[in-house]
Amino acid sequence: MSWDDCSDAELVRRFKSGSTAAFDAIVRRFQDRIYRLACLSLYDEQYAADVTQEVFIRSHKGLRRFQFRAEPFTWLYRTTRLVCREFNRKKRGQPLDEEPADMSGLPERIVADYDRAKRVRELVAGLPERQREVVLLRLFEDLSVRETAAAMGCREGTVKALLHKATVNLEASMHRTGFDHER
Amino acid sequence: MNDDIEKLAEDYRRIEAPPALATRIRAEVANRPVRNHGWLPAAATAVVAAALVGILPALWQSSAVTDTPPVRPSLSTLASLKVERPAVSTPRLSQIRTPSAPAMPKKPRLPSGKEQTHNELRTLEEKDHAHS
Repeated sequence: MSWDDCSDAELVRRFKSGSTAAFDAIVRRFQDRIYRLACLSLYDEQYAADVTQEVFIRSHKGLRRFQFRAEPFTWLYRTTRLVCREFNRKKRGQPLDEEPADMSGLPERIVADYDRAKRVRELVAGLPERQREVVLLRLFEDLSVRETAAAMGCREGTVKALLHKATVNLEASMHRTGFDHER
Repeated sequence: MNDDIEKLAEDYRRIEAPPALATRIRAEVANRPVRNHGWLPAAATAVVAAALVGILPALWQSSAVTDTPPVRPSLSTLASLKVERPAVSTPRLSQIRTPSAPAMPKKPRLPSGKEQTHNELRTLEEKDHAHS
């Protein structure tokens, strides 16, 4: 059985039993999701790659004690949230670079990703923190209500209520800014 | 879900991590060897066990002492016991007695009936004599 066929829990189980290849598979499977979450949760998205790296370094240690009470992604999400908060706290005091980053030397895909992340981020950033979390997990990451509640540490009813408010606010924000989806 | 939000979600899902990130993470993890703290729980258990081994006998002994029922002395033992008198001699009862109160003055004796009438007559005579 290849690593791609393994469930998330199975990957973690194999990593716990000492397989280095299993950890590489975990990184490959979750790095994009963690990176996206970091892009939208950070005060300055320049640090998204650093945050993703830090999350996986911590998970290399922390997943050894994973008890399988929750989904591995829930655990990773919580770690990401914690690391993002730490980075925001650390970097908030420092002034942001006024000049936009020079993208001329970068591949087209990365530039497009950067623009996309910036646009989504601008729309979602207007929401209160809890509503933003619900949008990220339930709408964007497509988690179930139950999984979202577990990741956020609240009740399912709270997730539904927050989701309703967030959808209304997000639609209003998209109308206001004239959101145009890039094809 | 609203179409616009669905499109926004699509945009979000198209964001990908930089290609070299996995390699970077792998290198960073390899540079930080995981410290094995597996011995910590075993050491803690050993310390607690040693402490219990040291403390429990003492606890058991003290509880054994407190749990023994009080010994009832036999009658012969009680009989052999001497009640020790206190070193200071106790005063006698007569010494404790309060001194008697001083004698009351004698009550003046009232004159008898004859003496009284005689006195009254004499008083009357003295009065008459004075008027005359």
